[in-house]
Amino acid sequence: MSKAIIKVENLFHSYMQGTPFEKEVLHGLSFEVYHGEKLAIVGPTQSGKSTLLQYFNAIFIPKKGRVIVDEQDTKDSRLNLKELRRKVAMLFQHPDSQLFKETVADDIAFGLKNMNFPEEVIEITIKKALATVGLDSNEFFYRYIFSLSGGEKKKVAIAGILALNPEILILDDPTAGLDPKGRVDFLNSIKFLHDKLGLTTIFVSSNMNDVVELADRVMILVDGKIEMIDIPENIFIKREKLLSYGLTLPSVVELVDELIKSGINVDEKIINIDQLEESLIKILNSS
Amino acid sequence: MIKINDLYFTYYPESENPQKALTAVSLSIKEGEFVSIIGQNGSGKTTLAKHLNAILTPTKGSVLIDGINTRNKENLWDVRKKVGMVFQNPENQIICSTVRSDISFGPENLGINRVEIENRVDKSIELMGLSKYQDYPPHMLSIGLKQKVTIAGVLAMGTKYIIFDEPTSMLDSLGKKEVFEVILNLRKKREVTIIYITHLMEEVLKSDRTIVMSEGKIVLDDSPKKIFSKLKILRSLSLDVPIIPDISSRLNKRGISIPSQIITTQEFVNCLKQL
Repeated sequence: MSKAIIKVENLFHSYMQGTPFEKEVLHGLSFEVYHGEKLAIVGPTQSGKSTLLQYFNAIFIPKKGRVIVDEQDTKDSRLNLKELRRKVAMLFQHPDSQLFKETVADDIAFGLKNMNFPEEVIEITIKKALATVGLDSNEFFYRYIFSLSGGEKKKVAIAGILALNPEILILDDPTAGLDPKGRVDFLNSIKFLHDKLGLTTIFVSSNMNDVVELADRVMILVDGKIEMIDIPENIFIKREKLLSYGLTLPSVVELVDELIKSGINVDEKIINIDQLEESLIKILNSS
Repeated sequence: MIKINDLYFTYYPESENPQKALTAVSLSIKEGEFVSIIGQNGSGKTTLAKHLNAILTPTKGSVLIDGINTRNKENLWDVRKKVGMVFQNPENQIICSTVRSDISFGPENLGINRVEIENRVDKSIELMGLSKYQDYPPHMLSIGLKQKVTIAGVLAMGTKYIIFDEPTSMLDSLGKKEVFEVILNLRKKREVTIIYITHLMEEVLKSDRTIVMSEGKIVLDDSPKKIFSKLKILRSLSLDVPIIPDISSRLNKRGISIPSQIITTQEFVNCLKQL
């Protein structure tokens, strides 16, 4: 088992604490995120996913429980917040809430300037970051942000955080609102970043097909409690539970169920189309 | 009937780099049809949709809504009364402080009498299943319910044609199902004509007719079944392929022949059983 880069111990969170409207939304979560893994966090709306994400880079500091990121307790008063937020990079759901400068280069430079990078290094760092997310720096360096497509904006937002050389990437519903080509492109660049830079990747997703494509492990968060945390095969086999939480199933899993119901005995553990193809070939060849 | 004749549209025609968005688009849509429009981002889907309620008017060619020409500015209100639009993000479309008042806003602006407004609002609230929420402030609702509020608002205007521009793309998977369900319900009643822009192939499969756009032109206009048997074209346009044609083409490559017109799970199962 690889080493934990994030440890969450008995974490509670309440909104509007100390008022009559106080509401506890995370009820004592404990789990670990392993170094270099891709963890999906899945849950119905209002399950506490976005709240949880904000503990990883100390936007929230635990009042009850502990969050340890790379061996540092986020509650520790000696914590270097700037350094932590460089290490733990966050990509919001809407790139428009992250991009605010006029041009691509200015936007990526913003974080670098804040981290006191010397002028001469900045330009080359921007170009490298653009190349890493698959954007041609000749074409994109001076482009106006407003002239970019949704997928391009997301990539620029990622380039902006990659320039700071993070170790953990946090993505809040990364493919929502992208068209099919944008989605495939974007998933590929996340995979590429993970494989090339070894970034630990934590992503919230409402698209189960994304989960199947990206995740090494899946956490199911319902009403502020962890219902399951396991590898995708072990999660998606529990169909009825997932449906009872108001979640949907990956399209391949839905098809597998329909095939089994119609008497075509494919393996019920199948979660992706490659596995389905092999299973059908096996059945057809043996009949 | 909506009739589009040889429509061309160019953004910034007077500028140094004018952008051609639509080229020679001709199309007619009959009353009661459910037409889906697919195509990559930038293919002209939204530009075309905006011509149907005169947000944009043609650079060349014409758009006629029940015979009314959108080009004539005097016809603007008549066009907008007939053609309503639901956008991707309901947040951009909700303005009032309660669900009921938001749904009433559109018909109030049409200058019809109060009794008629209340009738229409009641009817659309019921159709969208919003009775429980009519006194809620819209910001308290989930984004899926907000989208139902915007649809109810358009219905209350009494529009005959509704254009949906990716209405489910911002919603979570359950929200997507719920909102699409109410749209299918509208279609069943055949009271409105639906023009539906989407990237989701499961939604496309439920429409009567599918228009595929690329680079400002209509490249295919056929039943969804016929469209999805043309996998090569869909892939060349970077469009998603539904799961059954996808798995079928994989099996074909492995020497198992499954005809290209197989689209539904049932057809697929029957075909496998006969092999």
